[in-house]
Amino acid sequence: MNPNRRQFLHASVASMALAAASGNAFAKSGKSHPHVVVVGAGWGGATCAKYLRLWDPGIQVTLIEPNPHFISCPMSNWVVGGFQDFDYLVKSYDNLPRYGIQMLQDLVIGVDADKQVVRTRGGRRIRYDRLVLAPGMEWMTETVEGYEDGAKAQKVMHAFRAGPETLLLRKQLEAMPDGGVFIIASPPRPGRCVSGPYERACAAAHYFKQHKPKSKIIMLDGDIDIVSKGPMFKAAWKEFYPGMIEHRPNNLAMGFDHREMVVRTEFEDVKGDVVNIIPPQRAPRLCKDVGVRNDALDRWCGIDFVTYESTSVPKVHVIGDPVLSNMPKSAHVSNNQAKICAAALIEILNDRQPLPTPVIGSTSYSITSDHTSGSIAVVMRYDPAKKAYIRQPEGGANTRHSELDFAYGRAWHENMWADTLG
Amino acid sequence: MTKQSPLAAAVLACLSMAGPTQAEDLHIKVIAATCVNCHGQGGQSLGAVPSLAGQDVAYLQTAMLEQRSGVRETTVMRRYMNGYTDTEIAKLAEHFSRLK
Ligand SMILES: Cc1cc2nc3c(=O)[nH]c(=O)nc-3n(C[C@H](O)[C@H](O)[C@H](O)COP(=O)(O)OP(=O)(O)OC[C@H]3O[C@@H](n4cnc5c(N)ncnc54)[C@H](O)[C@@H]3O)c2cc1C
Ligand code: HEC
Repeated sequence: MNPNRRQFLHASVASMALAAASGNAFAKSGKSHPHVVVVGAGWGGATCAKYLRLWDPGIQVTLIEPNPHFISCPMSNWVVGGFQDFDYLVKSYDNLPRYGIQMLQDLVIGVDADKQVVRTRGGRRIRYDRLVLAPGMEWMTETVEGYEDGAKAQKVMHAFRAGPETLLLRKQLEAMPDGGVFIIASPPRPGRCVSGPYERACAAAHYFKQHKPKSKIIMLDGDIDIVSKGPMFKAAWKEFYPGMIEHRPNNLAMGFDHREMVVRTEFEDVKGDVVNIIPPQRAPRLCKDVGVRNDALDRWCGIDFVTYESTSVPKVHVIGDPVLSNMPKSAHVSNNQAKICAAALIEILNDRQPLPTPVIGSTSYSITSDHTSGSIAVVMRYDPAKKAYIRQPEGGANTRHSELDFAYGRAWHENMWADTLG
Repeated sequence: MTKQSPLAAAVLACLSMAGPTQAEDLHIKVIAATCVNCHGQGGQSLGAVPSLAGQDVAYLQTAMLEQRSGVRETTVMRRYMNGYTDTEIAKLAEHFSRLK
């Protein structure tokens, strides 16, 4: 039997077992179990699948993800700085089936929205009552001339999806001579984890300070300033790494020559020994194919903020990084959107009205060394009249890093993992 | 969704009239789910952030109000608590005090 066929049979048996196990709910409502298919088992998708089952075992949930393991972007700068091994970022999906979630290791290649069917690379066709797309981000590498050739030659990487590129960056920093130049080029908002590049500069600086103190970090920033935790980062750089990090705002990377190791911006050519370019991002191709990547710039997915249902394709919901909104694109927010979406789906699938006024919290911790962090925290409440999530007073970043924030940030990570995958 | 019998439809019609209490409970349940990212699954933290599960209800409510006003010094909680109403804070205290 070919492996796909075997997996499919396995999934069917699991689904029958599931139907038998939740027979009570079946008897109560007198209808078959609605089926929600979730695409992508990252921070958003895995959380959504888990909470759907936790809150309504009468719903059948299939979670589709090509990767055998979960790899965390949060904390991946710890690996860049050498404070943690890569293995620390890797977690198992093994607990999710215990909630009655059917996990399929496969890649979704298309959706027939009118027939409510998902198509996979493994040849499956899976029918859904509701579809949740949580596929993360796609990198617009074509906007930086020469990036793709440089990446093939392993002379540049973004390392903004944790994996082999995280390790490649770490290896190159280790191989860099003392006195070398490390370039981090980052895009303007909106994008994944806007504080990530500055956190990365801290992680690298911490390593350089101990092992290669004559080295320099040049940040070519496509944004007008450090827009998240700016005062906190600047104070930390001055205190811990004076003279080491040079931040050049309004300086978007437009090209890269990997033979010369030169990054070209609108204003200058800058030569580096290690080059990390983070291109701008957009919702992945799949979102475009399905018709949910629908904003004027063809980058993001417009959604209803109560249900996370696409504004253009019925019964298809989108959560996490691809969403068009003023919410930060972070693991914390993806995880919380997943819960709001799960709660709304449960109401919809039980013929009730979803809650009209969701409230979401947003937080991120950024390390500034191997023992200090800064934080940002804000609550946003959905206002139906304004059709927007409104930031509540007092939210924002702290201006000083601290050891206490470092300890809490670490706990955040452990608790997030448990909440998403545990 | 698939076809329904008339009886099932009638039952569903009743269910769909979720009362105000049910809606409020759901509202709190979803907010509480956004606290556990930091405070741990079921309010049981795996690290330095305090666990909330099973703490005294009055203690939790006072702690949250004092964090909001700044009487209690905090790292993140003042910024967080400013986003919630007094009623939500009271209900969240109840919610977490009931967890074991
Ligand atoms: C260096 C760095 C540091 C960060 N630090 C923090 C932090 O401290 N705190 C924080 O909150 N956030 C942080 N973030 C941001 C965070 O990682 C992202 O915002 C988060 O991963 C988004 O979650 P998501 O579920 O939307 O997407 P992802 O986590 O990217 O998950 C998407 C999943 O979908 C799968 N997928 C994609 N396409 C398909 C398909 N066609 N079929 C099936 N599956 C598919 C992918 O394999 C992936 O597993 C950081 C990011 C970086 C890069
Ligand atoms: C970003 C992480 C984070 C989130 C999200 C968060 N908390 Fe906290 N909480 C903390 C930290 C850290 C403390 C310790 C005080 C401080 O430094 O802010 C704390 C303290 C508390 C305390 C005092 C506990 C004690 O034993 O004294 C209560 C109560 C509390 N939080 C409730 C909540 C509730 C309810 C929510 C959701 C609405 C929530 N928290 C969301 C991080 C968080």
